[in-house]
Amino acid sequence: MTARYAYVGDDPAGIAAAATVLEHRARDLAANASSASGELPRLREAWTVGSAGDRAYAVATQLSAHLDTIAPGLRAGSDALAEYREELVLGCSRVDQLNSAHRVIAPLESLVRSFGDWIDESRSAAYDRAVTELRVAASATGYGSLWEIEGDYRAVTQRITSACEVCEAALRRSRTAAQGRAPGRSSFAGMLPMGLQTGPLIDGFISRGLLPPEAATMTADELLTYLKDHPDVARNLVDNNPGRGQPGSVEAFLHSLGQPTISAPGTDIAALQREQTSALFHTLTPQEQAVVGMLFPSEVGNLSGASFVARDAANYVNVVVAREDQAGVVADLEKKVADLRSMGPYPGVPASLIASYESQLADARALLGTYDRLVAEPDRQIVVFDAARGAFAEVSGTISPTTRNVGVICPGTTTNMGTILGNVKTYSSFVKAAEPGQLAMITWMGGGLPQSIVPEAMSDSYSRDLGPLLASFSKDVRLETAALTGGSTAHLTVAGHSYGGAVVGIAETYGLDADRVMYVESPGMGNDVSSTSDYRPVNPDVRRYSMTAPGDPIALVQGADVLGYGHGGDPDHMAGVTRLATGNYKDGTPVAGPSAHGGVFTPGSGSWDNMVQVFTGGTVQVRPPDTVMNTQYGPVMVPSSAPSTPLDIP
Amino acid sequence: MPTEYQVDVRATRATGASLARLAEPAGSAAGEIGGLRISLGSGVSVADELAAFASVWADDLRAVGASFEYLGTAVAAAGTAYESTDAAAAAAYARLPLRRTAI
Repeated sequence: MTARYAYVGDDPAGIAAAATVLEHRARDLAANASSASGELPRLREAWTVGSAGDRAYAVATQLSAHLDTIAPGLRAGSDALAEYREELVLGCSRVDQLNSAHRVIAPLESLVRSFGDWIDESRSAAYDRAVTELRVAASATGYGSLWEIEGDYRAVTQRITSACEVCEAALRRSRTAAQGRAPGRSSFAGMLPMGLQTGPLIDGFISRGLLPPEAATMTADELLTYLKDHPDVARNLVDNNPGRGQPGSVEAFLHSLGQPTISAPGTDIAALQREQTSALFHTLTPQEQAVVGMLFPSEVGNLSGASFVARDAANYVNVVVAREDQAGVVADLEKKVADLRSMGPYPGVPASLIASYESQLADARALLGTYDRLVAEPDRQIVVFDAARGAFAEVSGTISPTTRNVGVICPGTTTNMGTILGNVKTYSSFVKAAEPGQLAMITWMGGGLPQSIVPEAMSDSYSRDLGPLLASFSKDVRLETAALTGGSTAHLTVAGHSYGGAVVGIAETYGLDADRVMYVESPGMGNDVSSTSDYRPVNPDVRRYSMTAPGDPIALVQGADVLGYGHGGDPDHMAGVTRLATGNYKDGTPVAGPSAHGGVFTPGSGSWDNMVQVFTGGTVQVRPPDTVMNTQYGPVMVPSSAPSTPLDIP
Repeated sequence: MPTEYQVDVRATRATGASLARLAEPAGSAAGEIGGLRISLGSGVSVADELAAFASVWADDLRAVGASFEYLGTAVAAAGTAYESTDAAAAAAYARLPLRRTAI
């Protein structure tokens, strides 16, 4: 028999276990802090004169002082959890009582009510008996009616909710006191000179002249700033490749990735290396990951399995160098245009030539603008970058222990490095729409996209280049998400807009790792794809969605596929794909027509809201099947006027 | 550059080793606290905040552990280096009278 009232809040046993761990560790670390402070005078006495001794003593003092703060921080968490647990235990006991009372009172009250408002003489004895039984039960249980029991359950719920909020606030206070700039990272880790586990690496770079001597005492953030201000040093690092390094070192590992290996037939080398790389990077502190990224930017920036912290730091250095190169390109073009203009009307210099250079200059300036912003905004998380290939990916939001969903979206035709930050801004609206901290979005452009509809977007060549890269990147995201969320039940959605949909389709033929896939205003599901059986999904339970706004001209090419032209089956009519409604804009006008091709991303529109639901695993609105209208030209499919139907995403 | 040094090399080595030993408790605490998770409760839950709390403190403890290990090893190595330098110098001087005698 199911209970009427459910327990509220967390499992008290789980909370008690967490509180115990924190309490025990706080005790151990308090003893540790005591030992550390005991070592200080011994260190001073052993090394009374000498600058290295002074420095060692200063560092040990600082370390000991920080250690003193840890036990109280953990104990604050432990105490808060213990108090919360007490409320939970009381709450459970109270809910048990309420359920017990409900079981007694409910049938008796129901019986009394069944007599109705008027009781005739023949039933009055029975009625009196029922009322008496109810009163006796009320006396025994302390509740005279279900209404009172309901009221008490609401009070229990309110009390547990308050206790939960108090506990959360205490945990937050303790965390905030220790937290650094980035979520999930401590400020102490951020202050460390990077010469800890990466110390020998830094020393080696200094001795080889790749870094200045002062790098030995810089924090990771200081090194990043230094490299921003010294592109020549950044370039040295970009041009440097990992050497053999010390056995067991990070450098030796990175070097080994480029070496031939012998393995059993059928071994998935890429998967193996991805897992080994992830395991290695996640044994390092985030600061060390960042340092390794900065020291080996060319190797780590796009390295499968490298932590996103390392890839981001590496790509910052790569962007610093790309920006300097691009500034040179812009300066050259400006000089060319100025020279041509200064020649005035001259028979050898047609206006079209100047116009051509001016167009190149505008593109080059747009690209430089992107790099300028990336350098000026070091908190952006760039996890793919290759200036030569036009490859870029940026995380919006953060992937942290609270993340429930991660979305990857590939944009379409005319997107390039000069315009990609506009896409990032558009897609980050999904992050803002989700519960705080629960969704991270990645704007992914793994290389050049078509820059014209005809002929470039007709060809499958871009999707065939990018599809395998996206399939591989999806596995990187899955692995990194699992590492950052502690094993994670976070769901991964991969989406493609316009030509990006064709890229996603080809990626699916290479083994895309996703829980949900979404085709948005897509020309097809990948060249040569005629059904979802052509795909090789990593997750066999992947769910697919599509949306195409009525009147979007993309519909004219959906399903067209001849050799290397066209992009396979029409996602809106493919078996196994749920077709979503695009609905209306906020002002009530339908998301339809040519402008809806990009208009589907308008925040607040039905199409945008459906995308939010897919990315966060909510409830989507399914578009009803089109109806057939017979015209003088033959039957034509037109959107149904039936309302869309809600569908929960499992 | 300083020219004065006063070091008890044995005590320095011993203190360095003691400091390095403090890394282990911090490292193991980081591992256990970093893995603290509870399943989401009904209606309300501290699961998300506890995960964020655990993540920050585990990061902090990892850094503390790494710092003790590095500092302790460096202090011990410094003691050894002073001793080696002294021994090397003593060996060099010890050879000089022999050469004179031979001449």
